Amino acid sequence: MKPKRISILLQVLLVFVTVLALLETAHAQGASARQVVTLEVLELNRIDINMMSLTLTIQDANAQAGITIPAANSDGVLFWTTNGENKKITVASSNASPRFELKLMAVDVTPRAGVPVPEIIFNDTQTKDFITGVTKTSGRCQIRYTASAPIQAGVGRETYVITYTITGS
Amino acid sequence: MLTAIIRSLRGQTLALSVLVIVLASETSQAQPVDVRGGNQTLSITTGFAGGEPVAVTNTNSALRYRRQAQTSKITVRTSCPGQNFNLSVEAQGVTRGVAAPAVQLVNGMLDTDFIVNIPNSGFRQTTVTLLYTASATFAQGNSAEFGNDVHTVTYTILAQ
Amino acid sequence: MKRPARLLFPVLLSVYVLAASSESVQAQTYGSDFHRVTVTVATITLLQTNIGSINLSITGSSVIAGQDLMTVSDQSSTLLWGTNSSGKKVTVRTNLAAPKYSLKVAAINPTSGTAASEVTLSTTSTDFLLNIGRSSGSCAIRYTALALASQGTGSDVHTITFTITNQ
Repeated sequence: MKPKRISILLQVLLVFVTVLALLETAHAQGASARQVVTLEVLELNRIDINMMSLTLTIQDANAQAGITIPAANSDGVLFWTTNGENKKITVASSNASPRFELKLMAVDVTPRAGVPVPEIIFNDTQTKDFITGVTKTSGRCQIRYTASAPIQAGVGRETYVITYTITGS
Repeated sequence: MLTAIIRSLRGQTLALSVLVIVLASETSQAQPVDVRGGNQTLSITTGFAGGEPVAVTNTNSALRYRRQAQTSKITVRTSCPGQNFNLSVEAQGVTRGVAAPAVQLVNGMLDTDFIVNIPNSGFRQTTVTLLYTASATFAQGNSAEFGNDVHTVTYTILAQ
Repeated sequence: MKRPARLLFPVLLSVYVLAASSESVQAQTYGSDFHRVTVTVATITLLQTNIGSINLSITGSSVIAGQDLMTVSDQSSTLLWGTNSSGKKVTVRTNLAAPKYSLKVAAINPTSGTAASEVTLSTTSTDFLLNIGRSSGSCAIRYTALALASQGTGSDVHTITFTITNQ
């Protein structure tokens, strides 16, 4: 090919490339805008209860058996949510040496939201497992308290502060 | 008597002709007002998102005007059928006379004062810069949809 | 007889001068000139956000115990536009083809045009603002992220593109 033809070809190519570049620049500058959005989800654990206080009253007895009739309450509902893995819900009482007997049991636990342990007796302040196997889930259960009092415990009043915690296994 | 008048007129006609020629030649030396720099184009090409297009200015043309027998002024008007955009003009560097504030050029406008109080002495002619400013809003659209605005801008010098 | 003839020249000259000056007073215009001034306005289309990056973080306050769904919203950024063409709209899309969580976007309180319904972002352009032809304006951008507790922890990074296009 003659040098003159090559020169013309190069010039045409240059003009074509320039026009393309200008068109691209105009598009990028004018017709669009960009924004980077980062969404971060960290480990979150949330636990809540619908009833902040309740009273159990033992007011009846079985004369033939010689025992008081236990009082029960299932009005409380416990809720939890976690997006973490291998969590459990524990429970602890503030009453180190109770005079009466208070038991706790989880009832109607949301399927696949955790595994309830058998009934817990609050006879000290030790933290006890309440629901285990809580992984990336949300759930709820009824909290059933059962209070009983031996005859020899007499009459009186006791207060328990019960603390529920969602924590690592 | 008639012959005497005619004879007398011959000589004086010559004098009168000389006067007329002198006047005419002075007129042909320079226009009373003269737009210099030719036709102009102002192109609005960019703007601000959330704002308006950026106005553009042009100072590539000038106006030359001559001293007149009386104090005079220059007016401006435009003709721009179907005008869509905004155009204003202002005289810059005025030393003979007083420049008016920027005049908005609107199709159908009356002659509007542009430079006033031009003295009838102290100079022969002077030149000032014409500062044109074109602006538009996004709502006014673009030339592709509405066409360009072509103004015929006329400057007139007259006794004040 | 010579005297009247001699007086004739000054008389005629006076008449000429008077006539000339009277004409001048009548017209008052000494001259005029014109030129043509053309104003052109290019097609201008502008779009920008006032903030380049947004961080959304689902925190404890976004979580309700017992609920799987966790949400967080951000309305801190603004979209600004200007177009002198008619029949335009703004669309939105993300570059993230398979996000772990759901991200929605909506135009809030546009100063001109009409906000489209809140959309879940995908790689397909979806209407964000309608009828913005020949206007300039702004609107708040509201992002709403939805994560399920059952989806666990993690993060998504979206590059969101807003585009002005023909309606």
